[in-house]
Amino acid sequence: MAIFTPLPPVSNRGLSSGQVESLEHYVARLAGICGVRLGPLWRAINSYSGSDFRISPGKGNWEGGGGDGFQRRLAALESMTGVATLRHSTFSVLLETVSLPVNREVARWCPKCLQGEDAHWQLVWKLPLYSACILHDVDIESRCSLCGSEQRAAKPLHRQMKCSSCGSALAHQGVSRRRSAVHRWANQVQFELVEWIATPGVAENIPSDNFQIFISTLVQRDFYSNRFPPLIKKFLHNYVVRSVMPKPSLGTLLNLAALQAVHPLDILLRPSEAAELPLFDLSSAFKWMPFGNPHDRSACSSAALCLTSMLRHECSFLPPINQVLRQLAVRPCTLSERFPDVALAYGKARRSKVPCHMRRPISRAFSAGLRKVGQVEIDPSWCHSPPGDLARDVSDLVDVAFDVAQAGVQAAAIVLTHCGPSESELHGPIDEALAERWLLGA
Amino acid sequence: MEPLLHRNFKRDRSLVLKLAGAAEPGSFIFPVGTSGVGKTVMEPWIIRKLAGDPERWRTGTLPAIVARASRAEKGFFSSKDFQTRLNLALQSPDFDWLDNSNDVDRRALCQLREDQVESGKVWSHLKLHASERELRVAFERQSVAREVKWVFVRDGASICGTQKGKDPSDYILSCMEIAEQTRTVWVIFGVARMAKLWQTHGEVRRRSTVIPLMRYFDVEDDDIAFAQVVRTVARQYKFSSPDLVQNNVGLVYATTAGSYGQVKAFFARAWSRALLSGSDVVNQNHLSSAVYGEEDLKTLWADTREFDRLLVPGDTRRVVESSPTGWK
Repeated sequence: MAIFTPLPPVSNRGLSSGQVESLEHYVARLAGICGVRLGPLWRAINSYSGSDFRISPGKGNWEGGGGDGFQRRLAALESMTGVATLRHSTFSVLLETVSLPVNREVARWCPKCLQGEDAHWQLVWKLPLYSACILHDVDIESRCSLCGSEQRAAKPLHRQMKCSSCGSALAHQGVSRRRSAVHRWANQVQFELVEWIATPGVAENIPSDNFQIFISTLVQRDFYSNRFPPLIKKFLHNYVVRSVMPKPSLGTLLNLAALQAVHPLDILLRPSEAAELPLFDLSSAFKWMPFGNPHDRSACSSAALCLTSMLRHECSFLPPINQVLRQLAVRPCTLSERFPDVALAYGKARRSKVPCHMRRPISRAFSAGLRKVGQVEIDPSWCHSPPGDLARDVSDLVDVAFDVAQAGVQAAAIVLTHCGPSESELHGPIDEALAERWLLGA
Repeated sequence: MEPLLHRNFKRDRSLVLKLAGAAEPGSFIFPVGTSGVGKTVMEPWIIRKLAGDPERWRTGTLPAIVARASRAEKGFFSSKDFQTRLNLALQSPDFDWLDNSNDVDRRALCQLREDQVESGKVWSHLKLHASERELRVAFERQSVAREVKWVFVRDGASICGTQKGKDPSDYILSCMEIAEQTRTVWVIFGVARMAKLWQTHGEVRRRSTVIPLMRYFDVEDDDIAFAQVVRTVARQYKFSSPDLVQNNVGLVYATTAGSYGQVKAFFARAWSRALLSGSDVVNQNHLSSAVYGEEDLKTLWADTREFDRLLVPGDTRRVVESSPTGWK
């Protein structure tokens, strides 16, 4: 065993708590301590791990997934620093069992947590379904509160606390709002899941067949009772009919846990006991599953419809496809696989309509449009002719020309009409028809 | 070869070890001695004793580092070069202070050598930031992360070799800030010329402990010990008569200024003279021809007197009387 390590043995922060530092932030901090730039450090770790492919800053996968490369990089980093607890800053213990659609390119944060001294970027913020900080009860953000621009992940340490576009601080009081009990529960269990991951000696790799044990027990008991919500039924259908058991996404896991009234960890660690518990009474307030899945085919179909609609309405300027898909919680690769013609047509139309120098203003107008349109009731006619007052607001807010702002608002209106129900909709009485539309695609 | 553990060397070595071990973080220790007094020899032993068994270090930590102050820029000291050396001492330390020691496990030493090579490979991919300020920040952060407690600086007198218009005391002030920031004890070895480092600033003086590494004086008790040292060193060589060494102790003292390293060098020179003349024993002529030239002797004794002046306590009465509000 090594006595001296190439990199200093810097411990990861927040171990044994739900606020554990993400590995991505750890690497940025390590680069700061060593006085080197992030890119060369990444390459050094990659080279040490024996990988022959190059990764560029911002595309690096530090929290999980990505197959063998991730495990090799993690082992390399642990060996280079001599810190054996770094795996607790990643989702590596869940990788065998759960598919985590972690967004690697966009940063997410709790603005109030960032106000603290020695604040670090937390692993739990990486979970796409973690919508509010359970400690401060404020929204998790991914855009600058002043200019609305989306923040890239994996920034160097000295730039992490500032907006990459306008330079304003990302830390602020945050936005607090009333949340449904289901969402509060989901945030709580995700925080606890990360707390479990971050505890050395407790978190161990979960056997990959644990989830299968849970599902087979559940199916044997209740599959034909017709009490499952459609999304879950569709997931179970694959198992019953085709005997295929894909790794569940975090959304599916949360939905199943909610359905069984158990903690997601119970499903993963004690599958038989978790499946034995009686089903949640579906006649109560909990009627349908609110946690979507980016791999979900219905969401993908909805995204394809949205893009087609934007082409059909002949938006004068088209926003970047990735920005649209992010809003619709669909992965670009999933769309390209399922609807390659739509992705190609959109890309071609955008290239012909949007000159290079207009790309940034359009992206900003679209971001601001999403926020402005999201705050009011959407009128379907806005998909054809966006309201002038909203466009003027957007134009003033992000300092773009009026016609660009108008196009941004129009695109935002189209995208938001294709989105699932918003949080505010969830507070009211549950509309079964709306739920069905969202879950199965319009 | 194991150094000769003569009386003064053993006493001073233990003193430096004791003071370095008990020093407050952020303080300086200046072991000062004339050339040949044993600074280079005692340093690895002290580091080994302070750092302890490498197998007991927490992985990746480094209790002590060693850097050399050198006149790297056109013959002058460069603080940027010094910062680079400090960083290198953290990133790829050569662990030369563990060589030739019986108290370190061979396996641990081999492992450290391997780790050093591995670290060198990793750092070959990483280019350090160029500016002096960034180097300094990197050193401060890394030394805290590596839990460094002692920074050993070799050849501290080089820091005084500054370019025109630059004051060496400014460099030591900068080192003091680093020592405070990193909570480390700095042990700076050097000759008496480096006295400027602590004499110019009261702030530095207050945090400094100067340890004179004593040469042998031609006074009672000391001269007996010196004669003993001379006889022990001379045992390695053959002489034309048994009394030759005893009769020449005065000569040896005059040409070595009572310093063990100089005594060793003197007898080595005499022996080489004997070999050149085709003899296999050292005689009086060889001893006489091994004496330094006049200019060399002047320099030797000037350096020695400079060191001796450090040992003389200040005249408090004179200083107090010249002060307008002095306490009489």
